[in-house]
Amino acid sequence: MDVVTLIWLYILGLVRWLLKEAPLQVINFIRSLPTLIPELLKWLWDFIWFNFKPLAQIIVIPGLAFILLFAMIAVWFERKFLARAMLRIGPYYCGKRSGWLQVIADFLKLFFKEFVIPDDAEKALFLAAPVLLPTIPALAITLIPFDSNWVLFDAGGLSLPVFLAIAGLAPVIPIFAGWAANNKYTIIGSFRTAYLYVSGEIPLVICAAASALLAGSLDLVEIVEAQRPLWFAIPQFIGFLVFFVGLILEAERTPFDVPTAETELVIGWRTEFSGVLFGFTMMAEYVSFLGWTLLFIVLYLGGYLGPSLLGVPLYDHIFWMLLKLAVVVVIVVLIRTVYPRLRLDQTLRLGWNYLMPLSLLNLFLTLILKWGLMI
Amino acid sequence: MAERFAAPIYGVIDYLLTWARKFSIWPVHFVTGCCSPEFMQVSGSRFDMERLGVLPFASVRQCDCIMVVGVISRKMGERVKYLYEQMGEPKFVVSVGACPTGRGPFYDSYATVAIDDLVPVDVYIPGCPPRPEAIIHGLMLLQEKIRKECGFHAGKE
Repeated sequence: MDVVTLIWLYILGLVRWLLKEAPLQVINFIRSLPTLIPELLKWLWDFIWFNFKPLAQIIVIPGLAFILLFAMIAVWFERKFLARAMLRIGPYYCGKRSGWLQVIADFLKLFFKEFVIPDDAEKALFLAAPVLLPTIPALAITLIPFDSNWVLFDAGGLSLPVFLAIAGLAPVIPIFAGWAANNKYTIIGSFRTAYLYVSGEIPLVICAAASALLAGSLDLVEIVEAQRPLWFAIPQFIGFLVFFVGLILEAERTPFDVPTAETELVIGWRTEFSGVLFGFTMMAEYVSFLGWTLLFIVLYLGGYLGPSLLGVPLYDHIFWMLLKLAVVVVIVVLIRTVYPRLRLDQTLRLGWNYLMPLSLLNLFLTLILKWGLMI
Repeated sequence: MAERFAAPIYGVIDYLLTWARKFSIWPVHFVTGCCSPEFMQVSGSRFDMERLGVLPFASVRQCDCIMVVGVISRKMGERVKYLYEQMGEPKFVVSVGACPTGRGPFYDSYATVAIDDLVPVDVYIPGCPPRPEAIIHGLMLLQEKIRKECGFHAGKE
């Protein structure tokens, strides 16, 4: 038989199947629906029941709800606190009192606003950057232990270096975003970001290395467990201070917000982002701030460990983590109200001339301490 | 039929949308003249305009509103147009003071223009210079205007 005959036979067979068999199949399927739907529901229930912990982790605490709520509450608190520090009232009429709906109003407005894509921009990268920006710090947050058995992403005892690797990937995105927008202000802003990250990240990594050395482990849970007798903020006080300054520098918050300096560059690498894209870049700032703050708490302030009252330690709980987070955030916002912005060269001098030698000194002191402990 | 069912949904979205736009006006201030001290007072501690959700902003792309404060000469008028065209779509113009509204004391000069010859103006705030209360009143009028006119049904009634 030749090919044409084969094709015709195939088509005829198809028509025969459609006329004779297909209706039967459909009827069978419809008949089995009453049993199928409960089975699907049962499967869904089993899925939720057996994966309850990871689902709760993804959706609630280190995951989506926590990050979004943190960003919203932090923005609202910052605006209100800043206003109070300037003897103003701050957002007031939006929401019945205290302007607690202000952030939601801002987000809705940004969401429904037109966003402009410049003609000269690299469109794919320009649109991808705002999505990638909050995602990468959020990935790093999955490694943080919120309790000794509440870790979303188990990196096999290497969670500290994996955290630093993922968080070290984050500054690449603003650089690409600034380049993709093809505007002189965004280019200058993104290069400033690069300078800032290089000068800030190295002291941070050295401090984290000292902390890991003192604990004798690269796992964040074990680093927290090693702080049970004494929080690491006391044995490595220099590292504590350097990491605190470095975390503000990494999150590009106000004493070091050189890349988004409003009076020099328009608003740095964010200049061309408008509408919902801008909303995502603003969220990314708070997400990366959250990530570094959580690492700071885990490394120096004892993570989920409660303070010990008169030698009697309190229970370990996520609550302690959140309390410490709130305290650190309040202090960082307070710093924003008090200090003006440093220039670019001053920031770089701070990074290379002060933070870097201090972090090396801290590493050296930790080595001596560890040696003394081993003897 | 479809419209009858869709109308309440549109109403809810309209309500949320206009509410959100009303309470987050981010103005870029285009300050060329001496009404600016009064304008600074508006964001100061006595007449706090952040109560209304108005957040002064330095960049144009993210803003919703231009506050034109001060004399607009012919050369500066081009820049107002540029700024207006760089903003995203729901955008408003507030003319603060006598100069942008009607050329003010320089009415007979060859070099000045009124702002409504260049861009569509939403709210005029009179005064030479207007007091901070007047500027806040103007912003509240703008809020009312957004509430009434900035939804999906804008211009249909």
